[in-house]
Amino acid sequence: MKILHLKINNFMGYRGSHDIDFDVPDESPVILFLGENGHGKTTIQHAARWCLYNETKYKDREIPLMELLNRKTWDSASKGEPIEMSVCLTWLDSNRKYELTRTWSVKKEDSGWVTGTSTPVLRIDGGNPVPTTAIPEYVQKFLAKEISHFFFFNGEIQDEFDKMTSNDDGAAYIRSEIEKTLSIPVLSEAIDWLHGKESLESNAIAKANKDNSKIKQSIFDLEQAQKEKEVITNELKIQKDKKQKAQFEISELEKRVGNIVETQEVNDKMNTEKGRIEELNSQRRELLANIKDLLAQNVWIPNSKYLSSRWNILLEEKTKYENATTESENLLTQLDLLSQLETSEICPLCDSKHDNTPEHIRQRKVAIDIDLKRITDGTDDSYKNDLNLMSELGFDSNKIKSFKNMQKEYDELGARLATAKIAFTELRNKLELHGNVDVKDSMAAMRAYSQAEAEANKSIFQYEEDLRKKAQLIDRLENEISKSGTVSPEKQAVYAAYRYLRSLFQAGKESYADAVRKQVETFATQSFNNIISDKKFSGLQINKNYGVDLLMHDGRIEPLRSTGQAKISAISLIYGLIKTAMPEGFILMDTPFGSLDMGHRQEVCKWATSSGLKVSLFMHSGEFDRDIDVAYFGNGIGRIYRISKVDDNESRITVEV
Amino acid sequence: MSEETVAYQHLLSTMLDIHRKNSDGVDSHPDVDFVSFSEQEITALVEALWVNRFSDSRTDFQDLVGQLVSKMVTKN
Repeated sequence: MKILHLKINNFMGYRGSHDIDFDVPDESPVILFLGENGHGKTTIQHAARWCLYNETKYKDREIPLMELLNRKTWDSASKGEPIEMSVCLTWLDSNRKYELTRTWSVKKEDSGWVTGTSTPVLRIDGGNPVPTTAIPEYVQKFLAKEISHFFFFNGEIQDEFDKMTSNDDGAAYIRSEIEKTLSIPVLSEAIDWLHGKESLESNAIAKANKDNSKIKQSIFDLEQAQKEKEVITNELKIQKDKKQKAQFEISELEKRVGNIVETQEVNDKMNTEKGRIEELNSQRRELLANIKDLLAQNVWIPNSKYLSSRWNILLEEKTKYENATTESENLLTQLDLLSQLETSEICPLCDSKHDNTPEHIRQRKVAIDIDLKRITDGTDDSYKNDLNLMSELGFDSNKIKSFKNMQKEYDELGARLATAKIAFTELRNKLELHGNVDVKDSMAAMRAYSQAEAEANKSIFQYEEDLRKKAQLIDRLENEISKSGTVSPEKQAVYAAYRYLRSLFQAGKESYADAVRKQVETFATQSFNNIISDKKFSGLQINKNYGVDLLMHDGRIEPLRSTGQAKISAISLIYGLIKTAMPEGFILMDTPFGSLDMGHRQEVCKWATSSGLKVSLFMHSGEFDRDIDVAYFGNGIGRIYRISKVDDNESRITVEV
Repeated sequence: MSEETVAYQHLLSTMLDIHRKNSDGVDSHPDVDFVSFSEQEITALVEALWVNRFSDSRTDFQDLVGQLVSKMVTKN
C-alpha cells in the first residue's frame, strides 16, 4: 500500500487548495519537503491524520476545528456564505484506489459561527461512497491509528525516539504498539475466544455430569478454582492499574524534566544567543548614539538630499563661471593684441608684417566684443553667496557618505539581531518541550512512583504466577471432567476440537511472536549497518520487550549511548517493522536529521533511496543544505517540495523538481 | 491471499509446523488430544484470522472454526 496524493483545502496555514503528489517512481522513492520551522511542514502530516482519524490533537493538545480552519479564510468569510475546510487522501492498496475526503464547514451568522460536523467520504476505484460506518475498517486496514505514529514520524520530539528504543520497563508501551503492528493481539483475541468456547463446552459437560459421583469432587474443585481465578484476576487488574498509574506519572515527570543533557545544551546555546543579542544591541545603541551626535552637529543632514542636489548645481555654476572668466580673459588678450596691431604695421607676436587690413582687424574686434558680451551676459556669480552660506552651515558631502554608511551598518546590525532573536526563540521553544521544572522535586516524586511501580510489579508477578497455576488446575479439571463423564462422544469431540485449536493458537502465538521479533531484528540490523559509521557494531539486538541494544562483533552487548545512536536505531526499528508487517511500505519523517552528524545524514539519505520504502522527509535548512545534501540521494529524489510562508496566516507549497 | 507479508508467512509456517509436529505425535502437548484437522483447514483458519485482523469482529474466523468443529464432530 502507498499514499498517492494529498489535497489540502483551507487547512491551517494552507489557504485555498494545495495538491501534494506522493506518487513517485520506485527508482526515485524519496520526496523532500523543505521549509523553515513554522512554515507548515508538520501541518501536512497533521492534515493526513485529521483526514484518516478525525484527529485534531497536536503535541498532546486538542485543537478546536475552528482553529484548524485557515485564519485568512475565516477572516474573509461573508455572512451566510458557508466556508469549507477539507483534506483528501488517496492511497493504493491491493491494486485498488481509495479516496478519502474529510470535510468540515462553517457559516458566519448574526448569532455567531454555525459549525457543522466533520464528514468523511470514501470512494473505492472512483465508485459510489462506501457506507460511513464501514470507513473506519478501511482506514484501519490502510494504516491502523494505533501504529500510525511509526509512519508519520516526528523526529523533532526526542521522546518518540526514547520510547522507540528504551530498554527498561517503560518500553512496555512501545512493545504493545509494535505487537499491534505485527497483529499479535489478534492472535490473543482468537485464543481468548477459543478458550471461551472450550470453557462453555466444559461447563456443559460438567453440568451434564453433575450427578456423576466419580467426578463430583472434580466439578466442585473446578467451580472453586474458577471463583478463585476470578478473585486473582481482579486483584491482578488492580495492581496493573496501580502500575500503569505509576508509569504514567513517571513518564509525565520524565517529560517535564526532559533529557537533562539536552536541556543543558539548549540552555548553553540560548546563553550564547543571548550574549550575541546583547552584544548586537550594544553595538546598535552605540551606533545610534553616533548617528544622533552627527545629526545634532549637522542639523542639515535630514535635508541632505535637497542640499546635495543644490550643492552640485552650485558647483556646476561655479565651474561655468570660472570657465567663462578664463574665456573672457583670453578674448580680452586677443582684443588687446588686435588693438596693438591696429596701430602698428609689425605684429607684436611675431615681429613680422601682415597683410591684414585695418578693416579686417576691426571686424575681428567687433566679433570678439560680441563674444565678450555673450559671455558677460551669461555669467552670474550669485552662486558664491549660496556656496558661502552652505559652507558656513557646515555642509560636507563626506559627512553625508559617512551618515549613509552608519545607517547601512545600523540596518545590518538590525538584521543580524533579528536572526539571533529567531534563533533564541527557537531554542526557547525547544526548551519548553523539555519543560522548565524543579528537577529536585520531580526526581523525589519520580523515586516515590518508581517504588510504587516496583511494589505493583512484585504483586503482579505473584498474581500472574497464581493465575497461571490456577489456569493449569482448571485446564486439568476440565479435561478430567470431559473425559470421565457420560456425555455423548459428539459433545466430547466438540470440546476436544476447541481445546486443540486453542492450544495450537497458543503455541503458535508464542513461536510467531518470537519469529517476527527475530525477523524485525534482521531487517533492522540490515538498515542499522547501512547507516551507522562505527563498524565495531555487528547490528542490533531486540529483546522481548522490543528494547534495543547494540550488538558488538565479539557478541557483547552495549546499551545505546548517544542520541544519534538512538535515532539511527529507531529508524532501523521502524524499517524492520514496516518490512515485516507491510506488503509495501511508506514513511513520512519530520525533522529526521536532528542530532545526526554529517556522515550519518549522508548514510540516512542513501538508506532512504535504497530501503525499498517510499520515504518522505520533512526538513528545515538547519538540518539540510540544499546545495550539498541533495547529492547524497543520487538519483533517488522523486520530487522536491518547497514550503514557504506568505505571512503568519498563510503557507505555500510549490514543486521544485 | 492478496496481502502476503513477511509476518503472515511467519505465522502460517509457524502454525503448520506445530500442527505437523502434533500430527506426528512428536512434541505434542500431553494434555491435548490431537484432533485431525487437515493442513488446508489450518491454513484456511490462519488466513481467515489474518483477513479479519482490522475488523472489530472476527466473524470470518469464528464462522470457519464453527464449521470445522461441526465437520469434525460429524466425522467422529
